[in-house]
Amino acid sequence: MVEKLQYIETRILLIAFFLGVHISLMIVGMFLYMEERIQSPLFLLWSLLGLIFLMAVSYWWIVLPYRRTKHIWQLFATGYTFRSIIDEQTPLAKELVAVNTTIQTVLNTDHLMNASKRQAQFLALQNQINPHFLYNTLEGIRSEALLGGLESVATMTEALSTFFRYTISNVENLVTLGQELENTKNYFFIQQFRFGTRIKLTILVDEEDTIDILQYRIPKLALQPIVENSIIHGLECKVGEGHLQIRLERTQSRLIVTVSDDGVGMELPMLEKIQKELNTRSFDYVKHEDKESGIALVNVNNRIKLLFGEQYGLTVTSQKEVGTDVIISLPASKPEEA
Amino acid sequence: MKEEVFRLEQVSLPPYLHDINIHLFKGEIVGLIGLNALGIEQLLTIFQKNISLHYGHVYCKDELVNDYLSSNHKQNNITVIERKSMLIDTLSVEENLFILKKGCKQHLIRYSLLSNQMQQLLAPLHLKLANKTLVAELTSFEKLVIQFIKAQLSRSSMVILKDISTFVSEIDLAKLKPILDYFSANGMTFLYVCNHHQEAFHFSNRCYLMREGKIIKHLYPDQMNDTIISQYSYEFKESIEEGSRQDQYSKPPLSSRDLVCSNLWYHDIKQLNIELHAGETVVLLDSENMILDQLFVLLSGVDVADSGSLLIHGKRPSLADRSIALVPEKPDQSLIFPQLSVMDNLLFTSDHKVPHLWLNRKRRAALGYELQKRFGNRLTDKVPSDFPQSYRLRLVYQRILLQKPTFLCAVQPFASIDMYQRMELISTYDVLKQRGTTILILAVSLSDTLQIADRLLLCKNGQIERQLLRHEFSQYNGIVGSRPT
Repeated sequence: MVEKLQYIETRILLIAFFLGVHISLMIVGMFLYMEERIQSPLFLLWSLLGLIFLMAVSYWWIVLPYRRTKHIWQLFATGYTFRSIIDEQTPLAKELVAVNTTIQTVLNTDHLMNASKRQAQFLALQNQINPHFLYNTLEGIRSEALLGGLESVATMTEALSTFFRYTISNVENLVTLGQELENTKNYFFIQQFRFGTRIKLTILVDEEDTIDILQYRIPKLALQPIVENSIIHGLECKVGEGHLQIRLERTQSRLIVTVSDDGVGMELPMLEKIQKELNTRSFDYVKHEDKESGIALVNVNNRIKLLFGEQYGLTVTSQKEVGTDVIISLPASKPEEA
Repeated sequence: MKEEVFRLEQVSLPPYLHDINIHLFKGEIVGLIGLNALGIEQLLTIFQKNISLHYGHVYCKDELVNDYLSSNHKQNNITVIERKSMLIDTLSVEENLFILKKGCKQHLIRYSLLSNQMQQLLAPLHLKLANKTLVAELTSFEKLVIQFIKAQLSRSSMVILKDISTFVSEIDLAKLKPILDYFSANGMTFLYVCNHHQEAFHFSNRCYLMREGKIIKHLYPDQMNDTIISQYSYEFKESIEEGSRQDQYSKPPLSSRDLVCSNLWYHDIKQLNIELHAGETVVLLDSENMILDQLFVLLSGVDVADSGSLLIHGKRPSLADRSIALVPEKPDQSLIFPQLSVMDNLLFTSDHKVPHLWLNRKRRAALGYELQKRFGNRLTDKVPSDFPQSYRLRLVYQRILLQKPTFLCAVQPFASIDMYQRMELISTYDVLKQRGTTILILAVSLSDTLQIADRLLLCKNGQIERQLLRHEFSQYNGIVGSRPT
């Protein structure tokens, strides 16, 4: 019986039963009073107090949990949250617990994680087979070779192979910020062969945190796709010099990575579309075959949320002619703490 | 490692706030610039109190204090400093600081000890106050500093400074920076809320830019400049720099004088001499915040000067004179009568222009039909308190436009209003100027007043110290306010 009390349905039935009994007793009491078998009207006061008590219990025990559950269902329907529907609600009835279990199976984190990871690798691989990327890179190598400087050809080839190796190998979810930053710098180095000194990268870290911060864990391929997005959609179209800034900050419990560019920025409808995709939980993007703008951001965001929880993830702000900022919020955890 | 004092993560409260992400570190001064007012009040409420959220998480000192699943409606230890001071005027500074605080359990009060402690706290701030000074005797700036100390003593997680340039003078604002730096070096965190980026940039380490209930930009120090901000406020820039509105200031003023104030003495006003020509707009900047209220009292005709004369259109000012319009500070609160309908609020100073206005319903209906475009279909409804500030402000200025005064005096018209309201107000003042209205603006800080001014009068020690013409406005180095280009 106690176990059944967790369902709102059982609570309603129980309160209704007590209310029925109470009202019946009140009616009997009224009759007895009218026939003057009960002399004191005090029983009316007790009846009223009993009624207030039942109402209060109904409010705390039924109304509030119902409102809370309803709110969670609303958030689930609008895509704000996935986890809360499984973890946080008071079930309406026993049958709905079974429905929740089914939803949990559908939303199986491992499946989604694998799908997201595969897509992250696919997006990265797409870079490798993207003709423009390949042509531009090879053209860079060729030009360098023609000029006869073998050392730079070697450097560039090394950067390219390191990038490929990092992207394809190691299937684990988490790497250190230092490793991810190295890969990002490597990617930027390759892109610099194409853009020359037209694009510049600055990494800002608090002096006291410089060594320590690089030990923190971050999902693999979380930073490089964002930098890539900034270059392709922000800086490439910009006339003149473009600056890319990666700002690393650490708090008691969080790691905040901000990737800012001073590129062309986004139109408001595009920004709103990306923000909506980041704020609502949906895995429709996994089905997308073409490489839409912002899909990499949504992928990184969903992986972070699946790995660390819904309170972490990406935030994007952008303005035409000013640039775009992507803020990554992660829990501060080191490999040994895992 | 930075210590996070407050964090809002994906906070949503439709229709006011959408996906707000804000974090403040210990010892930081963070600016919050509202390009429009939507959501600012709600955001500040979320900082202060754990109200129900649609979605999101609120962390205070790294502890989850509020989220969309459970809101305990408790107050957070946050101090808000705004125009209305939290100090009690009739008590002394010591009593306000040490007795009116949580945890004060002393039954016997040793004033000498409290005064000693107060002097120790004031010493690094270079602020000198006599022992047992009543709060009522303090200047706005001194009250502000005492509130900082009170926040420090109550170990507030954060101090929100809301629109302080509307009650602290320009001179005092200049003195404020080292004081803020002192407190932030001692670990106090500030959220500086204002509408002007120049002001926020002057005080803050970094800034958040907010529009339509969303954070649209997180500005780091290297991004806190006019070039970047102009991309967000280009509508404002375009509207104020428009050629035809700039041309109206190139015309010379008429020779007739609408306001003459000569050798005026009254309380802190000492031998004040002002002359305003017909159709001229003049800003009187009292950077010490001493005489504005007193001058406004004299202009409203409530009191007379100790000596000297103050004449408007050659007569002593009178409240009943419909050729004079007076707009006090925050007119959206003080000049709206909630017991009257929107229509009556609009028309009650126009009866001298429309004969038998109150007897003739048809005339009122005809006027109402004209006004429906601006004020909607609810003209016969009473003005509810939940009408937006922009609507109420529009209502006040539309009343003045219908009244058609020849002289208008406004106190800080641009204080505490957002960019879009400022744009609307500038165009209203343009209409008044085109009608030949003589305008005197009384200001503690400049805000956008120079955009509508022909002359700037700088006041010191109760008298005019310096005058700047429109082409000389750039010579004035104030902290707050935009200047015409």
